[in-house]
Amino acid sequence: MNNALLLLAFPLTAVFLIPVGTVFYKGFGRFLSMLSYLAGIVYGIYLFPSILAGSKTVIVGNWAPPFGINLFISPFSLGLVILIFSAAFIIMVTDLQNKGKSGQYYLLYTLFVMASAGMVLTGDIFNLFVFLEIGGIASFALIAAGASPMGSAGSLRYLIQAQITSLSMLAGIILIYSASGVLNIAVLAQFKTFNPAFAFLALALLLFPFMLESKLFPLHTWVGGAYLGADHPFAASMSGIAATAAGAVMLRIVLTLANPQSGFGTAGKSIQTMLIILGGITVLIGEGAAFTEKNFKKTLGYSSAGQMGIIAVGIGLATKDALAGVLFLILNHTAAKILLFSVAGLFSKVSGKEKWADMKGIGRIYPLPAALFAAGAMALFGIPMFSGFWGKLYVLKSAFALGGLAYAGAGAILLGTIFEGIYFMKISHTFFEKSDISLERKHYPFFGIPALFLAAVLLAPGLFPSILGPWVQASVKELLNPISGYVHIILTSGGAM
Amino acid sequence: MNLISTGILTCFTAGLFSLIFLQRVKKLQWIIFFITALFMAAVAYRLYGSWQLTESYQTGIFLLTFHNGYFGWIFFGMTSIVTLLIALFSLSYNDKKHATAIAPLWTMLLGANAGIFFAADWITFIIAWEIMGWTSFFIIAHGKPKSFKAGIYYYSLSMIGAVTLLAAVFILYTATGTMNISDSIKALSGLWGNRDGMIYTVVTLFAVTFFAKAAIGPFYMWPAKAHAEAPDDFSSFLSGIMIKYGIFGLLITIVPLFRMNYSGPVVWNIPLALYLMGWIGALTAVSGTLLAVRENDMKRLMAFSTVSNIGFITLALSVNTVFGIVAAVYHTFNHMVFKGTIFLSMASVKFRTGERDMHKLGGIGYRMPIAFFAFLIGIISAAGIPPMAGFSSKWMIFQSLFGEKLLFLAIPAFLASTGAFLYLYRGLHSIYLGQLSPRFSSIKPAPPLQSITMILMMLSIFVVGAFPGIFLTPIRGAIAAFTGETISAGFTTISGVTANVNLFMVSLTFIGSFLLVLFLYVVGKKRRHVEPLDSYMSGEYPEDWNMIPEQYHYAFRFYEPFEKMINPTLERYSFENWFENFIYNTKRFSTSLGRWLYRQQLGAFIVITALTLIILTGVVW
Amino acid sequence: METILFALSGLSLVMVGIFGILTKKNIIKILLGLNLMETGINLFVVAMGFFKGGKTPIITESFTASTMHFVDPLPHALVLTSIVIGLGTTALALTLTLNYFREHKHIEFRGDNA
Repeated sequence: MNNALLLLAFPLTAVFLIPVGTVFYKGFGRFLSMLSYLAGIVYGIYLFPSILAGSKTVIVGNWAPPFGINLFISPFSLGLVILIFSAAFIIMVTDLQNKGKSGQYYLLYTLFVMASAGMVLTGDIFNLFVFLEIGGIASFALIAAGASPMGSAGSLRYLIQAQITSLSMLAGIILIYSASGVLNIAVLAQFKTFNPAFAFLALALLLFPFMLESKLFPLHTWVGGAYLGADHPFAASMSGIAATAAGAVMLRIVLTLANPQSGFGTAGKSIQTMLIILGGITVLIGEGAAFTEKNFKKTLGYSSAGQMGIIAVGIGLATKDALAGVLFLILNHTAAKILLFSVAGLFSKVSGKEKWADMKGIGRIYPLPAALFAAGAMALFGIPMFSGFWGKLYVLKSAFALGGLAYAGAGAILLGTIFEGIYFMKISHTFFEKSDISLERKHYPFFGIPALFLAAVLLAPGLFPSILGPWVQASVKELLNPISGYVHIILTSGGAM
Repeated sequence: MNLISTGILTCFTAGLFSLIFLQRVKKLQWIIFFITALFMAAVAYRLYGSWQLTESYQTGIFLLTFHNGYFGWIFFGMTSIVTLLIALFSLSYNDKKHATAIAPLWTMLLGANAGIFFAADWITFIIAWEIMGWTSFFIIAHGKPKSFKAGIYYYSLSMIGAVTLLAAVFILYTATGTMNISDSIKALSGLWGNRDGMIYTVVTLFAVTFFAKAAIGPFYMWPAKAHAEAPDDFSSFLSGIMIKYGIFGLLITIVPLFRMNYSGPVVWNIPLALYLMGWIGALTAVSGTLLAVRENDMKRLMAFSTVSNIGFITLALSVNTVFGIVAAVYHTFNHMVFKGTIFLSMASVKFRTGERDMHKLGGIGYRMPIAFFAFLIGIISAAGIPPMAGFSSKWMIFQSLFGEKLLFLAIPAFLASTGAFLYLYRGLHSIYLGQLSPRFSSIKPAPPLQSITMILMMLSIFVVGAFPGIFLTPIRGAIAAFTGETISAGFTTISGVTANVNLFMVSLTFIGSFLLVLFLYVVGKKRRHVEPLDSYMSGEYPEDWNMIPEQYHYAFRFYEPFEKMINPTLERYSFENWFENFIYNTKRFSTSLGRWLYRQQLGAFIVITALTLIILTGVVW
Repeated sequence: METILFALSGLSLVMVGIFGILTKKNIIKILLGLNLMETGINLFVVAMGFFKGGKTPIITESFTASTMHFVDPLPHALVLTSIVIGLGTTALALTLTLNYFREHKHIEFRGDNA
């Protein structure tokens, strides 16, 4: 059976089976959820070559596109779905040493992963809303499950803010529906007549939850509490998975739904301008707040906001170079953040401390994790030989070529990079500082292998950017030519699977 | 054969290998470092002459290109030789007691070193520049809290520099459409008169990058921190070689830019911007001197001396003549050698004594004669006294100033040059002369390898002093290849504007007078050595007054009256305070930002307000 | 006219909800505000499908698809989904509040401590 719906069916099946299986065997949840991610990865990679040759659409329940729900499987979406599943799988592997999580945790986590993958794949805005809400509910619960006393507080505040934005999205959806009568992105991308002000209102309402999820200013205030409350694996997932999905959805809405030919065209342009401004401010605010933050998880969370700011600037610029940079940055950010959070998790587990400043000298006992942390940090702030360097270079190149407002965005990125470089180097060096810390060195085999793999993921595109070439080129082409690609394939159902 | 990339890759592979596998055998790491340095010197030797060699690699995004130009090569060759000598020194320096874990990173740094000098396009240059930045940060910080403070200071400036470099390169690229370094500068100079504003932006951004690296102008204070706190053998590399990357950067960007097609305002025949740079250089030279005079820490003292010398070099660059450029490059190389020698000598002293404060030392020259002579020769060269190499380059710098009739710039330069005697002499007599502290009465001379290194460096200062052509001939060739013009100079003679000197004759004269004094010393009256506390105190014993030998050391508050005179001025116009305030305020801003983000009580309010505002802006506008 | 009134009543409910969220510190009250907001949006959604004189969208013998005098059924379907989601969120939020109460011994957002 060759149906891309399986990509979502694997984790969903796992979700339904986990409560049953947990009755018989306590570790069933972890086992099955990891198995479902692995199945997703394998199936995704199996599909990838044929998708690279031509994107396909999956029509759910035999309802043709304007009416039914469809998934769009393209190099861009499939690549990001593989990234999401891989991220989930690796996070689970690094978490293997922590015993005692209940079956419900894995159920919710798998639901969260499924929703994130669904957001990337879906071609229908109401379906997008449903996936958003599923992912949202799962993540509120997972933050609170983080065994930290701050969990419920952080989670509640996140919940309130996220609900406000997702209700705004619902309002946006119904506004669009009332004006056009359709909910399908492909049809809307061709819809010509919209009042520009109305289009902006609808589009902005539609985008808010994703701006919140990618921590864009001013929808970033939840970051501190939520990251403080969540446990390390889920904090990594919020940076690595949720933000990736949100970035993908923003790309889809801004570039495909609001393409220049559609009725959203002018509104789309204003949204892009807005993204450059907000992204620039986010970089400054995120990196600025991380600069003196002492709590390890919060530092990484704020830095994640900064990274998403750069990505938002890239989306706002929306040129060929900038989008290639965005793809590099998304990959880089996901891999690096998982690496950093897993090191942070390991270190706070062995030292029992929450602040990085209290972990002096820990790298002399655990040299490999500390060195990998330094590598991940350098990848994040764009040191050459890591993929982040090319991403930043691409975005900057495009920004300087465009001029005007883009200069401000580039300036913000550069200024943020200074902050980021300084505090990450501070943290990296703190680990190697001489101190009288005395810990027994234990071996964590489930840390080393995935962490080394992540470092390789960061390093390989940095040294040989051309290995990402086909994917990046195909994705950029798809994002920049929505009418001949996305819309054409879906509406003619030519590539139906 | 891809010699350049082979060399660079060798450095990185060797560095990574020793970083990962040789953590437990420090000695082996240092041997690998030495072998790599040797290999790079061999690469430099093999590359001589093949000026057409270009190696490029398609990464899929940008073409990375290395080009073996005469100009880049001469810097690379010179740094390779000095690095090799320092590596030889390090082999002996890093024994069981003193070993640091920096060797692998230093090995990688050698690769970045080659990358900077051979980069033909900006992306390669940026890559090498950033790798140089982080490796040197970890080396300077090397796991000690105090060094870490210095290191993060250095790295912050490095980051600022790296970021302005990126901005400059992309503005340049957007304007000219080429990433090739020399082509883009040439194309940019074609825009003089049309887009001056853009060119000055690029110049300013480049200036920040390279000034920050070379500690020119407002960035004068990082060497005092970083040079002082870095591992002792690395200080030599830092002061001798790394600080010159900034000079190299200025030489390939700003200097050629103002030599081609410039049509803007001029002051005394010098483009206004360069004239300003000249003043920045002159003030750097003066302030470096004044700050060095106040220092009691020998490494900080020499770090400020480096700042002062870099000021001289900047001054020479700003003259905008070929003579000035040759003088600047020549002084750069001389400084590489003599400051390397001085730092190695001090490293030897610290190796034996473990002290950095000068008033705790004294009389070391009796116990460590080779270190003493190395220091002596080094400071004679640094002070610009014949017959050492430093004389001829300083003479050339002054000649270049006179040549353009820049008397106002020459005055501070003279002040700084004379002021150099104050601190250099202080260093010499406080560390090596005077009374030997009883604590160090039984220290051993420098180990053989360290001695050999110092002797080699001393000899080179001597020989270059007598035969400046050894350096000048290749420099003239390189500058001719770079600018298309050259200056006249023989193997032992240099022709300036006001005079021609034959340095061989000068050397002979000075050696003659040295021999005369030596003769007088030998036939003179016998001298008696006294202990520091063997002193007269109105019938009291110094010990009764809790006096310790260190307080009797006459380096103790040596220039106190002078310091009292200059301190208020220096403190009033201190960029350091300004920077510290800046950092303090940034931190405060950051902390309050963090707090503000933390108040999610406001979260819902902010979210709703933001939604409303965004919608209103979009819909109304 | 009726449609606008219908929509406006929904939106006014949203405003009441926002007022509650912004002014109350008690978590339960904030959640009530959130629910009011949600109900308001749901009403708004239904209003968008409504027109005066529209019939219930159920195809029987007397009303066939060709009559085309139904109110739009799609918003109703959307609202059903939205209500279910709202239920889930509220239930979860209340659980979290219970947790919050166990940890902090009060149910108010206070001060700077998260």
